[in-house]
Amino acid sequence: MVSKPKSSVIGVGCTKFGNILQTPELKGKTMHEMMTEAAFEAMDDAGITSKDIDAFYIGSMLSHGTHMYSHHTQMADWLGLQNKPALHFATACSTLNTGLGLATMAVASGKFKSILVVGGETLGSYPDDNPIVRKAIDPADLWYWTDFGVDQIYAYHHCYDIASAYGAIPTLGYAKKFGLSPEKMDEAMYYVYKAVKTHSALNPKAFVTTTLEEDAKSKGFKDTLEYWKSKNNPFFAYPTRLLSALNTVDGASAYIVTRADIAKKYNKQPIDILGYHWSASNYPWYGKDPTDWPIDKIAFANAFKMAGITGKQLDYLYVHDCMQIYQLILSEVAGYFNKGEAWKAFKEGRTLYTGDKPMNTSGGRHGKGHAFGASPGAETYEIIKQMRGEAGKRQCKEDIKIAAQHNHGYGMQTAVTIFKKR
Amino acid sequence: MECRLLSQYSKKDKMVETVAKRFYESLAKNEIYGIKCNSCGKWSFPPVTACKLCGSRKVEWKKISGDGTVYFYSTSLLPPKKFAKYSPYAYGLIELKEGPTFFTMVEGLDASTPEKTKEGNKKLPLKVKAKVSEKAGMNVVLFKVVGK
Repeated sequence: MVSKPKSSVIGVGCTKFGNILQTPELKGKTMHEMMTEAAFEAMDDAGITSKDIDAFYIGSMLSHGTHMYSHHTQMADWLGLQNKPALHFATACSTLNTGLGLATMAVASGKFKSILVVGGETLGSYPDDNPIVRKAIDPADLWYWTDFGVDQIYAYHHCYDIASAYGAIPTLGYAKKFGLSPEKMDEAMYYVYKAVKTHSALNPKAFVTTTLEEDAKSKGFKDTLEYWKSKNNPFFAYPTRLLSALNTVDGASAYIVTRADIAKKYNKQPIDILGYHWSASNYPWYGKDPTDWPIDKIAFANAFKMAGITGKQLDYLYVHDCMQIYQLILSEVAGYFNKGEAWKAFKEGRTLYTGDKPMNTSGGRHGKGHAFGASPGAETYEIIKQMRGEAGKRQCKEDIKIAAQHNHGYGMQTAVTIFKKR
Repeated sequence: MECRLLSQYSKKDKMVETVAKRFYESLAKNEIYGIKCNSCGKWSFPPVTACKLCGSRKVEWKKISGDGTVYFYSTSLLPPKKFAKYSPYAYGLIELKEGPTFFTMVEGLDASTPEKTKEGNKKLPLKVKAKVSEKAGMNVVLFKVVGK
């Protein structure tokens, strides 16, 4: 039986994802201004002012890009929330998904009525000892700092290779488990990418907004599958191609969580949080079957149990896809598809916004872009907009009553949250 | 989960020993240690302060056999800066004979091109043996292919 919710999301906000040094909508902004932009959008969306917010949580992962800690003290003035209870928190790339559970606990305890959660990340540049002068980050440095999130005693020093462990080996494992030839598996990943591109091209706030057809044509290809297999898309770590991987970006996101019993007072269409769960593991988080991920099974099972639902009841699923193979593996872990059948659903277009099993409709961590701790907030934004019927050109054709959001936080942590429309 | 009252610990018990230092310094003597749990009997590798399977603190240091099986491998276009000079190298998923899974560089697998990596994976699983090797200024554990 579907459980009685304790909390609801009443407002969401999200900036354009891109690069502060180049992207017109972000150019010249500070981390503080990006986060404020997302927060004000969420407050306006909910129809509330700072007076109605009892506490705020700021989620952010990589201090090397932001040159910040104690984000909550610095942000109090910018958000108009002086002297309110606040904290900074992080579970890496799942941060704002974890925030949904943290905020739910706080309002369910009776201590607070409404909490603003804001996420922000700057991965393309950092303030160069001057708040309005930024210096570009070398990708090798970005990954050196990012890898502080993985086992620093043993794994990192044992020739650590993130692209193989996170992309290639799970892909090899999926192909082996379900009897897909290398060619068939490559084609399966092409269809996942096609879905990514279809959705991001319809999302004005995405980092990548060109269509797959436009990209192929610009390189002289009429056939998009031939473009996928060409030298324009090399193997990042065989069998994972470059276009199956994330794009790191700058961006911010925000949402407001309110006690479920008073949510209607602020917003005509609150979306309830039915359940959530987290699970953490040191690296490696899987064994000799690289598609069998205990942290995800545990997080989904417990979130479903709290919500009183099963994966079969989901109308919509957003999963972490810093490597797009996760869309196949995790949709099966969630029970959204049967084992070994997700790749067929992608090929048949069932996961598109036009399909019967929509997934990742804002473009995922390649298309929308990956702003580490802030990305889950952008995915919550998408889910809430979809459930309300406010997703514009990429609005799902079928009604979404129950949705799940899954995220991975580097190292590895899983956060799962279940949403329901009233 | 193992649980004892603080008063039940001797002064020595309360100290967390230098696990990482002991592991890496043992490698210089060509000794590779894991920990074996005296509560559930399972092995954890590399050593930490509690059993990775049941959480018990009743663990003892034991040398691993070094025998294992490699199931998959690949190599990245963008390895960490520290290991860039070895690229491309085969980074493999190994299951130790004692049970734990471990990732490291594997000698005897060809990762020089995507085509070689594809062909190499078709021949797996293969038996591997652990060896101590210096990589990027540290002694670490690698594996080498020893047969089917």
